[in-house]
Amino acid sequence: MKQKVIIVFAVSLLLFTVYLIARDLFRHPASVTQANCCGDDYTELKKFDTTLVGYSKAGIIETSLKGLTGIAVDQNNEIYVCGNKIVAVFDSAGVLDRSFVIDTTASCIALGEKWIYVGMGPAVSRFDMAGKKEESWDPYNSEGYITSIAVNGPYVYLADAVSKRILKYSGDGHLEKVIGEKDSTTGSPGFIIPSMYFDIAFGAFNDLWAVNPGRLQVENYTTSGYMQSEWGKASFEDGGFTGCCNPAHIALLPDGKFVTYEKGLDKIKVFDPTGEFVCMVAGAGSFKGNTDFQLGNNNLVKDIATGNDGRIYVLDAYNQIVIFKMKD
Amino acid sequence: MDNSRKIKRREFINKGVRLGIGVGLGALAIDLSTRSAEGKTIWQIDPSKCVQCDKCSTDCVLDTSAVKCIHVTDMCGYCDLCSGYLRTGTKNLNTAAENRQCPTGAIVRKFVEEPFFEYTIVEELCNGCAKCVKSCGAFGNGSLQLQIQQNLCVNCNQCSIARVCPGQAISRVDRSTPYLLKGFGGKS
Amino acid sequence: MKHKAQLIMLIVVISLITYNVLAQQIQRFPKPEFESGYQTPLTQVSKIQPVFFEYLDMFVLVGCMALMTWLVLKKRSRKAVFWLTVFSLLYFGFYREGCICPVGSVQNISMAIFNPGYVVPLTAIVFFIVPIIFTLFFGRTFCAGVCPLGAIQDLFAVRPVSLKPWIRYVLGLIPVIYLGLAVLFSATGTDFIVCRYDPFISFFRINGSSLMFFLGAALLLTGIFIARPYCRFFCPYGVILNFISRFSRKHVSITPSTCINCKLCENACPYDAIDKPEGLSVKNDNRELVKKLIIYCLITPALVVVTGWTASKYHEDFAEVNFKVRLAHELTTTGTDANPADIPTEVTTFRSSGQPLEALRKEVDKIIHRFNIGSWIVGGFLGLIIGLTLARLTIYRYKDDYQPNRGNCLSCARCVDYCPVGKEINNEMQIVELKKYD
Repeated sequence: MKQKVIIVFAVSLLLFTVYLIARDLFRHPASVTQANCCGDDYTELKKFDTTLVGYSKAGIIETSLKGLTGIAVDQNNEIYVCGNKIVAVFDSAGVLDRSFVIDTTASCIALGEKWIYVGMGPAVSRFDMAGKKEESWDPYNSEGYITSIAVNGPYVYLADAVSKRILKYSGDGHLEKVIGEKDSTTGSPGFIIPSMYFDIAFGAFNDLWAVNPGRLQVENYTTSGYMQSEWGKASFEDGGFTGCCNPAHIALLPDGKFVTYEKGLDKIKVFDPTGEFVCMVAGAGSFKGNTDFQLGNNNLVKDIATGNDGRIYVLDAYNQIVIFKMKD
Repeated sequence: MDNSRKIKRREFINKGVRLGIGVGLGALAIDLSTRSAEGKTIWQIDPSKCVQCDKCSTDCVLDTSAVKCIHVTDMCGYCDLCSGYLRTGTKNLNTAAENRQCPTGAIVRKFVEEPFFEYTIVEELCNGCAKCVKSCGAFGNGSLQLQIQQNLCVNCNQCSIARVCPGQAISRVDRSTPYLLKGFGGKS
Repeated sequence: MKHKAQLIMLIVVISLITYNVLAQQIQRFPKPEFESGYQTPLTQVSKIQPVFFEYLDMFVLVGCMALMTWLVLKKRSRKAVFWLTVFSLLYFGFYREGCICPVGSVQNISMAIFNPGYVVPLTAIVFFIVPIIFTLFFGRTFCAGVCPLGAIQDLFAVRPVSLKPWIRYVLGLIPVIYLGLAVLFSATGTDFIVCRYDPFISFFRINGSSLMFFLGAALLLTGIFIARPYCRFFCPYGVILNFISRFSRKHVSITPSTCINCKLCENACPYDAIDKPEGLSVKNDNRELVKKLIIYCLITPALVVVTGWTASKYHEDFAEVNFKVRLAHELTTTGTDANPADIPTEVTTFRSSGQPLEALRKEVDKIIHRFNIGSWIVGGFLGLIIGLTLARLTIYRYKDDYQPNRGNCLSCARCVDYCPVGKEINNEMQIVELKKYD
């Protein structure tokens, strides 16, 4: 009798383990979701008060190109984009006007009166309006990387993120000045560039505005390299910049206001010349793509530019040009 | 007589089966071992597929996960406002304990010179939760990356984290490339 | 000479150009300018464990196998087998923490056969083949005490009870199913279920989930009464060794020479693996048995089809264990406008990775198709084993002595101590080992 009880008990225990294994194998637990996962929720930080939005979407241009990195707009509101071995020009209606092939990937583009300046790695090349390469200037630093170009009259200013300097070239390719070295005489605190985002633009008064991303501020320089003023602060409020290196891109509106793109939270804001927050343009929700997870370099915006009609042109990560106009 | 014939027949069948199995096994062994010369035999995380879901800290068979955060110093910006060190969205921007990202205090910050700070990870304290990886990647350069520390990993036949990884980021790699660090050694 | 110099110059120039081009394409991070001369530290990563240990495992395995075989077949000493069992438990179990083991290697091999891209580690091949080769010639000496899972169970078999044959045959179908599922899941690249539900690894690592600990504890508890439950009624590798052992050249025998039918070994085996002599009287019902045999042989194909069809009915449930299949399922059921906080992480990851959904769907269809075929085969295999077992039961084989059942015997050599042949019986009626007998 005792034998039978033992057998029954042991066999039942054995069959119970079979059941447990089968249950664990075939029953699938509920998936991890954003709600019950860990870490800070950036979706909350990406939100903003919609009453602060001063711009609305005017249109989207699908370029059907690949690997676009930079955008610039000329006086006739023609849109120039540069990218993986290509420069293309679209008219204000979004129709492709012309395009030409370049040797390597362009990192940034700027427009002079007669020339198109395209930054390619450590050097810059100059093309005429038809797309013929006029010349390539020798790089200041062979390991450098040009992230932004600004044209002022006959001078061309290059922002080199690796050298952490702004290089002033004359029209014939001669390096005139190196701006941005930490120097108490010029007043420059030195550029802190943690990542390849270093943007410059020219203001209405012929003054050079440069982002100092590591200090989260935008600095104003004379054309001879003296720092005159700066604005910007580190803060999670609307009026500040977040993260380690922001704003990633800036552009100047015709009335002197700044359009800034903040990477990480993907916010485009407008500031007035004294650095006061004016309004929001757009946030992560206005652009294609999802940046909740780190799957490679996933900023939603690649570059911004402004037209002389006050419109803001945004090149997004999916090679589309999104145009914003001021709300009435 | 009858029996001995039966026994002989049985012996013959047995011998035949043995030969068959032996040859079959031999062929299998040769075929598979020629493949095994490539030797993808250790587990590693691909940071470009990692979604920082925290399963690395909970699903490893070891008590303290073999997954640790590695700081790729070549990529670091040495920022004052390090998003891997400081939590995002905090009211005050200071280094008080409640403002720090790492729940175990494994990231140590040291002043270098104005305005640069050096950040190092104390491996014994890191539990592989990827909170710092997520914020460094989202707001910074992405120099903090999760990797399986090969001296801690017991190299299970089936990695139990690999089974549940939402990005399917863990796979076997060759012994010659035990670490897959993004941006390190020229990889972008 | 001039041409050589020119060629070298050309190579140098080309390599410089290529380096430059490559340098431009790599995304670099601008190093901060440190004025104080601070040197950025190198990235710290730990060294991989030397491959020496894997090779050591293979040598120890072969060594233990050879030693165990000699101890069981030639030296015939249960005591020595016991101590080697303890050593195996300590080395393969607690020191190497039970991974990799031959039981799991079945999955590696099966995955390699059906997935040409998969590379099997050399240790897995060796761990799969070496015990089979030894079993082919000497019987299941691996099971005797080299396998760490067997070793730990063997030590717990303190109060074994005898199970009736029908219970053994029914429970013996579980490892067949387990083997089938293990091969199915590893062949489709889904999972290694044997490793996942290895009951004793939580004891070897002294670390694990509560399920794992419970499985181990339950099997050890069962093992006190039903000796070696995992070996006899779970182990998928045991199915293979069982089959191969039937054709082994040599096998452990209870008696060193001729059996004298003293019946002293009848209750010696805790695993019910000793076949008793079958009397001549049974031979008279030959015709009945032949009829039964023919019936079973005819039923077997029908049985195969029935079990195969039944198993294939569940092929989608089996397929759900596969990550990609579950992912595709979730992608279909989760709309793009659902609340972001409630979307499963895998879905968001897939959607932001930019991979086309169609490619995933195609792959998943292929996987489900493979599961369909695989389920038919696994079910059919089960039916085949059932049919063959029934058929084999009818085969009468005249036996006039006590022999270990070639398939089921785990070569633990316990029975050897019970046999008085070649040993003296001392005054206290105890069997004493004769020092020189051959």
